[in-house]
Amino acid sequence: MLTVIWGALAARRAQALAVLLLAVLASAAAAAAPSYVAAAGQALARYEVSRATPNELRLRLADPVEYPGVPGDPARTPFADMVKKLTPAGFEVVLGAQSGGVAAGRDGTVTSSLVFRAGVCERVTVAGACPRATSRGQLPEVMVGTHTAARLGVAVGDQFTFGAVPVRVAGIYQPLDATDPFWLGAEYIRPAAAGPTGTSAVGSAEDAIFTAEAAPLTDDQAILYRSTADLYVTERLFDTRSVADLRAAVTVVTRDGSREGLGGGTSLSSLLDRVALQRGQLADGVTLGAGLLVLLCWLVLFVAVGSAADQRRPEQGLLLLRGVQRRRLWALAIGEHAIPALFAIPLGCLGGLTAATLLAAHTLPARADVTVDATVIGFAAIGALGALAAVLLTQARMLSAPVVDLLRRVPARVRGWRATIGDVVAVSVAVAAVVQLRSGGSPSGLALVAPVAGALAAGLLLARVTMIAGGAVGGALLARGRTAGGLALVQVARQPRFRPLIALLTVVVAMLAFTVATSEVASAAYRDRAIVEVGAPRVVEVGATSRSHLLAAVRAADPEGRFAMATVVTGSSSAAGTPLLAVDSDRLATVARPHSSYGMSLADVERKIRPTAPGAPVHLRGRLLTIVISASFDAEVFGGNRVRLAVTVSSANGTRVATSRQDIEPGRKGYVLQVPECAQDCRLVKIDIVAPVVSRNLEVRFEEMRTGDEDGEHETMVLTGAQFADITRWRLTDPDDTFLDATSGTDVALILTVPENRRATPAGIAVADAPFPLPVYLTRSTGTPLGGTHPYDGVDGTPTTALVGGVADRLPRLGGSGLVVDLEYADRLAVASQSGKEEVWLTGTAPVDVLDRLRAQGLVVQSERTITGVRQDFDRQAPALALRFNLFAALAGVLIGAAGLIAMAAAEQRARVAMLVALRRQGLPPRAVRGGYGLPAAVAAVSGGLVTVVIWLLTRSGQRLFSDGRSPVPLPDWPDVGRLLMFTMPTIALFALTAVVLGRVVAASVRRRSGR
Amino acid sequence: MLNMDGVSVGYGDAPAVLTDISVTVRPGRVLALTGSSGAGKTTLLNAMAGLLRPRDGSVTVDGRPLRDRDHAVEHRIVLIPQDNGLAPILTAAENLQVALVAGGVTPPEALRQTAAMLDLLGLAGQADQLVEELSGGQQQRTAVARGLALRGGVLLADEVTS
Repeated sequence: MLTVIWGALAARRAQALAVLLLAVLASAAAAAAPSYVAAAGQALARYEVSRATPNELRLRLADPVEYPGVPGDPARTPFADMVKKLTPAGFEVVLGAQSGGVAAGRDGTVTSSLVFRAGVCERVTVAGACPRATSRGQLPEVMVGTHTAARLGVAVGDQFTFGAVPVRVAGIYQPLDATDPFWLGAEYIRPAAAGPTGTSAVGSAEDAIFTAEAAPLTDDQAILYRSTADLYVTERLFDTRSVADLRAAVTVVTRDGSREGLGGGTSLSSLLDRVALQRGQLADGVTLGAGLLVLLCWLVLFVAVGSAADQRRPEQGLLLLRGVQRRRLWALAIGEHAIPALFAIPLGCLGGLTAATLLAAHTLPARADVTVDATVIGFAAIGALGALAAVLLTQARMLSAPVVDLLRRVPARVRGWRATIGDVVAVSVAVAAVVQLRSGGSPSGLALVAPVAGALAAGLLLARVTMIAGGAVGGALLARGRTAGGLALVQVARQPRFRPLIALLTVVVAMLAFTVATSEVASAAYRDRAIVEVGAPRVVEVGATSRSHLLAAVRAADPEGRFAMATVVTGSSSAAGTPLLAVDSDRLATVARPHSSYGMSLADVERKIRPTAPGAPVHLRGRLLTIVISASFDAEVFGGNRVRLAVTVSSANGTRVATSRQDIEPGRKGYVLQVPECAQDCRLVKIDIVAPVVSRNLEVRFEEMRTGDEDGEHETMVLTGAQFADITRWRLTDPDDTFLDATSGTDVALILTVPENRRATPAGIAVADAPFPLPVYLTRSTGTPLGGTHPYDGVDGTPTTALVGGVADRLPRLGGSGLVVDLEYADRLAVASQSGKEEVWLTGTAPVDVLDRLRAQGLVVQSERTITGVRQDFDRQAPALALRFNLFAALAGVLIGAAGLIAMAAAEQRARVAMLVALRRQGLPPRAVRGGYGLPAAVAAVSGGLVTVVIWLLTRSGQRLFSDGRSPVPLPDWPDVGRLLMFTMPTIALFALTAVVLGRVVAASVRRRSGR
Repeated sequence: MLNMDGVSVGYGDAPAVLTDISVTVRPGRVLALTGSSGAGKTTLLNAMAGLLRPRDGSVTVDGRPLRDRDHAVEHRIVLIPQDNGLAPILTAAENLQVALVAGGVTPPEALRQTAAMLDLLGLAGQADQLVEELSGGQQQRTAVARGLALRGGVLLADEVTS
């Protein structure tokens, strides 16, 4: 049998080679997917590691016992032995020890930590030297940060005390890279505090003070320290171990460490979760492209080998006629094709690896190694064996056909259920896949290949329609004497093997268009989401001492409002709350990036949220504030229930409540409050009468307000009685239960009446220097109509109410839910310092030194995001990487489609040429000799377009574009047609060119054989 | 009138199959050619039909040398080949129709003649069947019908009754 198989291979070398090549292609396509997933998984892990917070990269173990002495190297302690025993393979361990305390130097003190940390000297630049181990009796050596040295007033060689222990400064350090996970974020290098001394230097006075390996003290009891070990996860670990392995290792360390009594903590699991999620999404996303490639390869084999098999029907018939058993024919068919399929597995592995390597090099955000593993070999085998199955399936009909049928040159048409079973299966699978995809949730299983399944089913149906229509039209053309066109049509339409070819080309065109469309929409979605979520071309998160500091600093850095805007963003802690964006509204339209999805213009927002204030703010300047009050209440009835005066003031350092030391007593009296923050300037927010129990009516007359200093100098009248009595200046903080009135004449004053039995909240008057309720622009999703009032937590977190001045579909930075207010007004209404994220929004044209300008105003620059950067981040996530693989697969599919057309033509060329030669001998003119291969290409163009629309409508909603789910910005409904055509037109042109060349080959062959 | 004068024909570089053959086919006459298998009957007909160019001698139609098969078709030399020469993907009627239209008959006339000729040969019921679906005899009769429908000046029929 082997000899016969070898003979068959030798006799049909071309076909064996075609099967080998196509099986290699299928095998390579199948192998490329897991190779790419593995490589991209590595790159994703590296990317996630690069973005992880330091705490997400390490697992900390801490010695339960505190030891006396200066923190030193715990390497030779039982703790280190225990850590060594517990540490899983591959984790990097950094041993340390630390002790909290207060350092006191010549110029000041600072609360800090005395720390030993292995390897610190390699990560700093030092003026002086790294601390060296000292012996008992010597002063321990330490290394302090630049800011700490400045605060303590020490230089190299100086001394200071930590706790009660004198230490010597061996060096003053600056971290080489403060973002190195070694520093554990803010644990050792603390962020600088905002304020007038804002600086660009990293760190603060609270930075860790580092010690040497050993520094025994005479009096060990002076300091207590605790040993620590940080177990770092490395990029290499993600390359070599699965996330599940790492998670198990972390669980074991945590459990065993806890058993041993070690303290610890980690956020490593959140990093592992992210990596696992991204890898899972990548594998799911790549399934579509891999499925497409493998399906196309199998289809091409089905088409090509099926056509070749048809040409051998008489040969098979003769063999059967001569008594050869069918099982031997089966064995021959299997053997003849199994050999190329088996050879295809290793070659496919290599091909898949090569493709994955090339693709990885061009698409992945970080370096990744492409390697062969069992999964790759397994997928390559599936691809090759699937190819073998496709080959055998094409021959099944021939090998089971009656002898009489085999002896016919053209196979009898398949009728009955057999003719439609393939279509029924394809349509059923497609329907199931689409239904599963549209049923919601995360796509899995069949839903992942829904577009391919849909394209195949639609392609098969359209191919069937094409065959019927082509046959009918061709026949009609022949009857009308249009011989050339009619012949070209019927040559294809009456040859059943062309049906899978047409379906194949349709799938190729449709999937290319679909993949390009998805990529296009993804690209637009990444851009849109980045614009909306970032809000402005550049957004710098800063630290400011207060909202007013932020506002003033940004206005000082950009006095003309051309490129910078102060904003505060608060997310609501309660699910029912509304996130808030407070902006320096005059600059909103200039700085924020507009977007069509907002459904409003930023200039409108500016106008609506910044109406004229009802009154001017009341500014105070002086350390002491005196308020002259005439109170009227029955002190006896109030008994021991105190009535107190509280004033809320807002300065550059925040908002604070100052309370009078003296309780309010009946009669006229000046009450003095300490307001040191008002020495330069501050703003009066409100005056409260704090009376927990109001037994009888309480009336308070505000008659005067003065500021001054402790020494009695610089006394200034802030408000006279007449100014107090202007009730338009004031707003009752509780208009339901308190009353405001004014007197005139000589005893002009403002009167606040608190009725008896009022509930126990402060009764107060706030300066009406901002509209209340504050006008806001609100997102439509909240349901509050235009002109309505909407409850929300103010910029200081205090519950309040807004007046809806405009409704938007979306808001910059907040997306589909939130409201935007004017920051200055919101700050004036705020009664507490608490604030959200303080940000400075910048235009793309902001000067290069803008960050220095902000620092010069005392802001601390913490982080920066740009629309471009966020968009690139989206582009580096698993769905984007999967899309790139799928686009590669779709482009490879175009070549497979062209190969299919060529293979089909090659297989049936002999019969076609023979027929055309016969017709030429009967007088058929040479111009009527055409290949007819243009029809599949033309049909593929049209049906590919139709199928693209169908699968786009049915499955686009199920395509994952973002790793964290849906974008708050609606996705474009349709892709950019121009770009779509840029990919599809060359594809159709390639098919058309292939068809023309194949037609010319046929015509040339006919010419040769017919003598002209 | 089709005339062969001292014709020698062969295939490729192989020795000539027929040498020094002279035949004259006159209008209105039936000429039968017999011989044992491999004697060269089909080769001679192919040379007369313009499919084989003679190595020596000449083939003339009405006194003018026959160049090739297209030239023979122009001079209405019809050939019914041994293998019928039918296109399997066309119906019986279409095989006639294509040949008639190629011969210059208008499509409606070609349709009429096709129907008439198929009817004459008892193939009216098979007109719309693909050739692949016809029996061997029906295929042969279809080829004969096509040959007759073309109404050639010379009809060369190769083993049409076998």
